[in-house]
Amino acid sequence: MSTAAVTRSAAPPRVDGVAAYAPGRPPSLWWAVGGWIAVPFLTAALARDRFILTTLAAAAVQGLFAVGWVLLAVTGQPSLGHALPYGAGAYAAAFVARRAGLHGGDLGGWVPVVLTAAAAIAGGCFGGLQGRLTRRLAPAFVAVVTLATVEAARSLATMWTVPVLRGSGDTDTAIPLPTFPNDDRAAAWLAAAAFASGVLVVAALVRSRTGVALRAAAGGERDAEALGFDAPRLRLFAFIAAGTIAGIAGALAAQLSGHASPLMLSWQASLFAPAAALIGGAATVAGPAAAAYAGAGAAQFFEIPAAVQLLVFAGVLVAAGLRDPQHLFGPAFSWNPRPAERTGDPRPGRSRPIVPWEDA
Amino acid sequence: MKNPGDGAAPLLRLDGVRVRAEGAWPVREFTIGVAPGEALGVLGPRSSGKTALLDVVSGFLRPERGRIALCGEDITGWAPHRIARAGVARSFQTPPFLDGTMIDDAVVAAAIGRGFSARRTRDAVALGLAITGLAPKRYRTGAALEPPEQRLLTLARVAAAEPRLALIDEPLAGLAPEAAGLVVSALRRLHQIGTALIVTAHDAASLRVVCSRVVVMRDGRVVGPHA
Amino acid sequence: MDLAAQLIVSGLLAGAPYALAAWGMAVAFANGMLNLTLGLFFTLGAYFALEFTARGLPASSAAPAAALAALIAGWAIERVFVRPLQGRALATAVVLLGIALAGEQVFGLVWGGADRSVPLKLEVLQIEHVVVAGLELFIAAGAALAFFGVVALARRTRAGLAVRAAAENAEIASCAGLDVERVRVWAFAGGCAAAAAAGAFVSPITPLSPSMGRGALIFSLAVVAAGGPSLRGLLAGSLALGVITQSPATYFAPQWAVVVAAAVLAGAAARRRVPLWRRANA
Repeated sequence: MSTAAVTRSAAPPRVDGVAAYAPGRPPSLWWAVGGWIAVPFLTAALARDRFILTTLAAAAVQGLFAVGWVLLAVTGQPSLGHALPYGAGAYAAAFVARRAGLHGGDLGGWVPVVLTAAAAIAGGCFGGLQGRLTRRLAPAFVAVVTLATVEAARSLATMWTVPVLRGSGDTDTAIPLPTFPNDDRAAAWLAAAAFASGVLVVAALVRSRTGVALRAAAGGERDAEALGFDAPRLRLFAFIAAGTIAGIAGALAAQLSGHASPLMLSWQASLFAPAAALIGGAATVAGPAAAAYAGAGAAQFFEIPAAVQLLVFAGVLVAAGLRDPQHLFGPAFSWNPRPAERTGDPRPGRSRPIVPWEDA
Repeated sequence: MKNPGDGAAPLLRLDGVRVRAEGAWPVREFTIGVAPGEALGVLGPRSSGKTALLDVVSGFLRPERGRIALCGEDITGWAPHRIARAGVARSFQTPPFLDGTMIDDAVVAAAIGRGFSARRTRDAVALGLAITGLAPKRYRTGAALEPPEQRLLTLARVAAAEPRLALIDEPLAGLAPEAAGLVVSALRRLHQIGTALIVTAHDAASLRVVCSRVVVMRDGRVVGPHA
Repeated sequence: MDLAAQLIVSGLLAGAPYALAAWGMAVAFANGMLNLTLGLFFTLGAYFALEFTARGLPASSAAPAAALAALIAGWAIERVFVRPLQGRALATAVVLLGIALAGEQVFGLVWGGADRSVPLKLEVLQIEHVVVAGLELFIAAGAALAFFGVVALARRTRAGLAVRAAAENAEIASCAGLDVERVRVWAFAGGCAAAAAAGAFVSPITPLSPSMGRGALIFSLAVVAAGGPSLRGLLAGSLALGVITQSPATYFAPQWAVVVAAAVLAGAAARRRVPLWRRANA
């Protein structure tokens, strides 16, 4: 994303009169995103092994989860609690299934649709809650408060236990729900379709006029308002939209695996999205999606334990923060920043205590 | 000096607008009018209320008392984004952080914020870039701009919003003479296309080039017109 | 009524060590840093106490030892990781969080992921109708002593004055000849030390696990967000929050403590915003 590359390229083609999202990249919607959309479908078609198919399905769901997070990054709200709407979606699906008296097995028909719809609503609501709480907070505090919300939710989730084996007195913190679909290849296809739709929706949104508004909101409430954008509402919208996508991902994950558990609300689950975004490239939609798909697939395939994953995410966060602190999670983030652009305006130290809210 | 509002309907009218603010003079009171297409300079020392005036017109400060009318319509108490959409654009003393944003994108945002259609956006962006002379650096990021050019970028955003009234807060502060010249020409071009301006500054010399009328603020009040 | 009194007393006693940890968070916050490694040092202090009691050393020496270790480690972390970030709040928070998470995994490797406990028992007292474990009282007393000691240090010594001056306005303080960077690193390190001491204090009555610091971290953030930068506010906030979190925790389930703390944090952060209709500084 160097400025030299930008000046070398021709004027970027426009979509609906609006310049493309990523500075310096030839930005046609299809070209930037299309390549990646095909991969999950191809792999779902070609794979034979059952284990690989379930891995691909899980990877695609994680990709969907991460691509929703991109919306939050676009508006300058790096949420570290994205697992909350995800887990909320999974638990909502489980809750609805239990209320309806469905306890397991592949029921098909309208059941998965209803469960996923419930999950989408739950995800949107919990995402909206996070957004409402952090509406006017500066990015550092958005990160901290969202992390706290996910920890609180995880605590609550561990309290909901059900006797899994009837009469045995055993309790388990995983809530079972009907699995769908039973066929592994169908599962991989479904997950790929959901992933592809998510990527297309987010990419289209980010490249639209609404996307311009969202990006303007990232520049600070004062400046966004002066341009004519209702910044708090835009930021909330981003949380609700990202939360809805995460909720759907949660429902899919729960139905594919057959249970909803507090692990879906863990810090490791939550930090997966920002880590994937940092690895994949902060200014695009396809990058984080690809990184998430590949990373989750690898983690599942090699059965990397959660502790190791968390360590990897921690390493990515530390490295990214040290590498380009000026633009962390922003569109200009680069693993290879030029020294001048990296440190930017040299500040000897803060001249006043940090302000949790938007610097008005 | 002809009094504004004589004859022609004023573009902007503040009547007894009273604002509570921090600073040396906690209460500011404004009664002032701006004719369509007029360039008004507001002169005054630090903390005299110049920025408060711009804040109250653009909606960032809610007045305790009084009435603000834009083209006769009462905009007192409107949210800032609503006032911006109504055709009031402003720049701030502290520039926005546009390091990672493409300049074209930043200017487009101003046009989208006003709700322009795709074609009008294209034209507005071209206008904004032409007025400030930033067209050659159009596809570069904000990090590539020198400080004077960052001021120009702010003005490009204001121009691309095709406002009826532009509120410019201390555009020349801290600029070397050549850079100040660029900003002044941009302001003049903005005025020439019919935008009314309210420009604040410390010293009269810089204002005189752009503004036909200058008022002085002291102790939180508008004092005189100043010839 | 008895139950209420019991809950209040338990809460106050529970809140005391966390007040110390919250002070650690506050002093870093006032100097422009969100110390997300606070939980890590809290856990470190607890594991120090575990090791001390396992080796037969006096339990009361665990806290100072842990504080010293945390002081050194905190100093190193600030110099190596925080200083290059030049005060950028988001990057600092994210980097420190990463360090905390990595540290948690290290603790898991060394001490295992399962819950451990520090065996230390004192007799149970009964005052009026309120039952107080002697242990809790002892802990609270120790924590209170440490807390007020730290406050006295901040108020009455030149070093404390330096920290407060730097927190107020670093530019002016540095013009007055204060080495702001040095103040910041010691403020950060001091905060870590306080957290470690708090963890050591709390260890006998809490199950130890590598991620036990997360609750303390959220608690401290909640106290700082709600109680504000003033010491009085901090103290009141942590005691109040101690009561508020302990009541559901003992009455319903221990998980509620974190939930309430997170709720207070979120609520306080959401409320404490500068409204758009702000005061102008012309």
